[in-house]
Amino acid sequence: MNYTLLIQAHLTELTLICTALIVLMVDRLIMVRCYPRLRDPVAAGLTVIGCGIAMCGTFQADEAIAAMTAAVAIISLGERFTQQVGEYFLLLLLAAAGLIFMVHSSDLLNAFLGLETASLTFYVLVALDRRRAEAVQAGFKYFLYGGVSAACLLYGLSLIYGLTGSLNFAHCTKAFATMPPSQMAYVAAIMLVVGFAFKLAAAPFHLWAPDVYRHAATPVAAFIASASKVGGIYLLARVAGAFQREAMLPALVVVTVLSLVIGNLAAISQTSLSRLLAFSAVAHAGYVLVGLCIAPSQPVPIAAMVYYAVTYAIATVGAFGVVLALRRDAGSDCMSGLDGLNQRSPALAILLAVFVLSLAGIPPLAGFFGKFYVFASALRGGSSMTIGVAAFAILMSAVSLYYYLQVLKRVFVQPLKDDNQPPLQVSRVTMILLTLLALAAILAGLFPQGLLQSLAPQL
Amino acid sequence: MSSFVQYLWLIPLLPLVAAGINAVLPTDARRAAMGLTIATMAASFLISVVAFFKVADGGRLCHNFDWFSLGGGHVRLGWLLDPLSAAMLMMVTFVGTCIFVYSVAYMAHDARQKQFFTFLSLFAAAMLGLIISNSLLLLFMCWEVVGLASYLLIGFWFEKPSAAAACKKAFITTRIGDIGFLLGIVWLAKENGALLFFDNGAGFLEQGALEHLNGLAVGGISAATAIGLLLFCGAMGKSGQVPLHVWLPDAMEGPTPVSALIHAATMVAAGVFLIGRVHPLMTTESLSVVAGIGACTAVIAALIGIAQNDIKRILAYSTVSQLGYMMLALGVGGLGAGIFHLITHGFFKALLFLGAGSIIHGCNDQQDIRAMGGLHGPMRKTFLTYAVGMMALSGFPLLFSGFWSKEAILHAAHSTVGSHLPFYAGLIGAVLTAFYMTRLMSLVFFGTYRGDAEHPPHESPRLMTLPLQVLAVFAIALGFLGTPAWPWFTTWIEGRETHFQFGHLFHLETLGLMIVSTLAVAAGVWLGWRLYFQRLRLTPDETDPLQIVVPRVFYHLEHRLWFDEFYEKTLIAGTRRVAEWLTLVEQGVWVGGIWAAAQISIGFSWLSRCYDEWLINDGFDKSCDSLRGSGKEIADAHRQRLPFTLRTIGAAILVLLAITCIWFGKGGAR
Repeated sequence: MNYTLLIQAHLTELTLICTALIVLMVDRLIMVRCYPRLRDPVAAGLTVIGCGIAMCGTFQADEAIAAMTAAVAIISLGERFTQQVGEYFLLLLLAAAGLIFMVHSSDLLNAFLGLETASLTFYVLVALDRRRAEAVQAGFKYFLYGGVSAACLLYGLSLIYGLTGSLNFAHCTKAFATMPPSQMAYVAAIMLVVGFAFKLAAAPFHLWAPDVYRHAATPVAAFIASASKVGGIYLLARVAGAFQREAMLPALVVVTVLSLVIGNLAAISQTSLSRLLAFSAVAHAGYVLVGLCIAPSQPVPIAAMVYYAVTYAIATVGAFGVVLALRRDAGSDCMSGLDGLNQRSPALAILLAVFVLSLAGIPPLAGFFGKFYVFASALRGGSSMTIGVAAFAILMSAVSLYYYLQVLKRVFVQPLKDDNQPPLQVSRVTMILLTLLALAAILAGLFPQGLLQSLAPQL
Repeated sequence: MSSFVQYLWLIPLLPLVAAGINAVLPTDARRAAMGLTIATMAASFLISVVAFFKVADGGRLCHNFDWFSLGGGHVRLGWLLDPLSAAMLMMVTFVGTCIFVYSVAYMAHDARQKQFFTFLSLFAAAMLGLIISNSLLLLFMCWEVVGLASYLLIGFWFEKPSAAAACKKAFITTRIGDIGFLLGIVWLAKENGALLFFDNGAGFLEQGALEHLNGLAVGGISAATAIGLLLFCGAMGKSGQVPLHVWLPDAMEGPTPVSALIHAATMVAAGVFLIGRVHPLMTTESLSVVAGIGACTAVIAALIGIAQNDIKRILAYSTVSQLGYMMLALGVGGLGAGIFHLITHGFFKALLFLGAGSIIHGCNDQQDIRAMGGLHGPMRKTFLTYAVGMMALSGFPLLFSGFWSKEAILHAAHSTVGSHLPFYAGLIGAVLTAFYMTRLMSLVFFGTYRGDAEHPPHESPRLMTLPLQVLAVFAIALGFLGTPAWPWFTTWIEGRETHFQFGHLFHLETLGLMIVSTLAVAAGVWLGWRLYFQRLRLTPDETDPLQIVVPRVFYHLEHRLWFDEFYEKTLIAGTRRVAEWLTLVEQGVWVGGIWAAAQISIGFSWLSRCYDEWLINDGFDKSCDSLRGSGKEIADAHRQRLPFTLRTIGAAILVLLAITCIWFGKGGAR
């Protein structure tokens, strides 16, 4: 085996892991003793540098994950939810490394290892704020369901191995192409769908999501909502491409429809902004799964799905950035805190509008083209069922406008309760980051073709 | 080679980025705005130099790409680098940089300096984009942005009513020409499909498309002629050709650097550039129209220039006249000569305008040449550089660039197979140009100072005189690129080979023409000398010597041959009449009709409302309520304890299994 080649192939992960270790060492050995006030900025800065190095190359799913990690590291600045600053950034970087390892692997088992590395760090990250019982509880819940879903996924993978004698993507694709569907394949299909539905927070396996989004520290929630979504969708699309999609279809359709219904309807009556985002995440999992509910003869629209995930991640990190400011200001993320935001901090209000409208899929923002490409590829599939699913998804996205516009109504229409309320406190770095994210959401919508082509994986 | 042309967009992009950044800078960040504007322009100049050397041996590079696809059709744009665009790039970026530097000092006391530089950058970006575009569509877009920047800059001092009126006039007048231009583009797109100039044989300036267009006949003329004439309408508007020249003298309401950059050196040359660019498309018929209009413009504008008293207006009419010269050259087939004059004119006219700015600055914002005089002493540097510009413009023999470029034009006009009228028009124009420039020089620089004695004239700061000196050097040196002995520039533009042959200077025709044009210049200067220099003006209120000699002619010229009044009485009054009539029709007929329609609509909507409120709305409200209610129920269902959720997962897996089994069981796959 040629180790140079191996190192080259995994250079991104290695960079992130080295950065993680450096962050930990610098924080523990130097910063804690000498400059305790500068711990946050230094650790975040090192993390951003590491992610920046990892982002070199054409912009694909792995670079998107690194970018999201950097964005989360920036919004974490000044969030004092834990004393273990070094550990926090270490975990972020390790999770990113796990996800990227998963994206790079050409083998189901390696992908699984990467996914679980990431998941394990997520559990810890959620529970990192040990002072709050809810956070610990949410982390524990997440861990418990995560364990179940990992078991399902692993069971599914073992069945695939049993069917084909290999876990290599290319080999599996070849083997399944000639194999008639069997009962074992059905069981494997359901196990895979269940495992991934959990990772993507698709109904009915989404029950962890509202609690985790609500009670975890906001940057952690943003990270789980963005980077892990991108990685999860990428892997699901690849696995679905390698597996017998026909066997997965019924389970996928059920999960898709349920996610659309539960996510969109439950979001309507939320009063907490982060719970709203959690249910909107469920709904978005439904939209993106529409891309898989296509005729098995069609190729998986992997570029469209990853484009969707990336644009969703951009908008959602941005929205969480605003939640963060709101939480710091009002102590809670209650929607009523948004009342009259346009009068208090006009810039932030406009940024929030961009993110929310992108999530709602209003052209010309990126979210619109995400939905457009996924639905278009589903409609191209042609069978009456896929058209039905896509039409239902479009209908539900009309319903989703209701709660997205509720948010904007509070921001732009509701009067400010108290005229003397000061503007929301947002650090300059965060403001720059949010502006960049908003620009990305606009530009990715104006020039969708470029990003789409760049994201198409060269397998 | 081709890889460089792919990055040609950097040249317009840099000023565009500067404009964008300047636009969001705070108003008091004038230093940052100035620095950015000048730095990006200088960087564009450096890239233009590289571009120039890429095509210094001739040849043509283009890079085309899909802008967007609509159904099966592609809209393609592209960049083009050939001698024509390379020469223009060099001229615009270099003159632009000089003028930007000059503006730093000239606009030093203006409160809105930042906006000024923003607009300048925007203009430069659009102008450079216009030059490098390989598509008539992209060219048109830049053309319009150039028009917008020009509008903003003419009206930069919009608090002056005259400036506000002038910018409107400029915009509307050029827009009249642009209608023709747009029609031409649409027609061309219909006939040819693509709007690229060059595209490996598919562009409309290449063999196949030209043959097709020449073959199509429309009402007695070929489609190529008709399209060429429509495109020429746009060029007439932008380049101030008679009868659309009226906006250009008024545009002098803008700050002087703007007049120099936009309304003398670069933008007004865009029309000439356009005709030069689509020269292969122009047929003999359309070219004869171009030559005719150019000749008329050259003479009429020079005539009007004689009797003006505002220093900038004289230069404006001179610009119109010189643009007429360029059109004339293109019309008689002298593509290289026309472009050569464009380039040399860009330099020396910028020099003259900047000099005028320096004079105005030195005379405490006085623009009337009757109230100047005697400036050759206190404003030494301005005087010397201005003299160079004046001699270049008048075409003093041998040493000045204007002589050689005018010479090339006269040569082209003389050797054409068509009518020789343009040639004579050119000669008359040369006499007139020399005459009014001598008048200008005598009144401004000689005699005694006739302005406010308490504020004597003073020389302008170094930052203003330095660009003058640089431009003066080029006003001389550029001429040697296109002498008959070594006509490198003209042949380079036309894509031919050239050799140095000193003997060509002494060919009978060349030498004869040189002598004739020298005589024309001498005649003009002599007349001016007799009338203005020998009897120097003493007070501002004296009658003009020419007015004494030919009072009636002078009266008409002084009123600019009544073009504005004519338009006011006919076109504008006519439009107003039609508008009034339409108002009457509107109030009498349409308002009644609309009222009736409105009443009917109200009746219907009342019916519809009843239907809506009692039948539909209740239903919609109910379904919305139930949506919200079910949302609440679903949301409440999520506030459950751990075992519930784990049970859900278990149940869900079982249900999914069951569904799959039923699904495939029905299909019989076992």
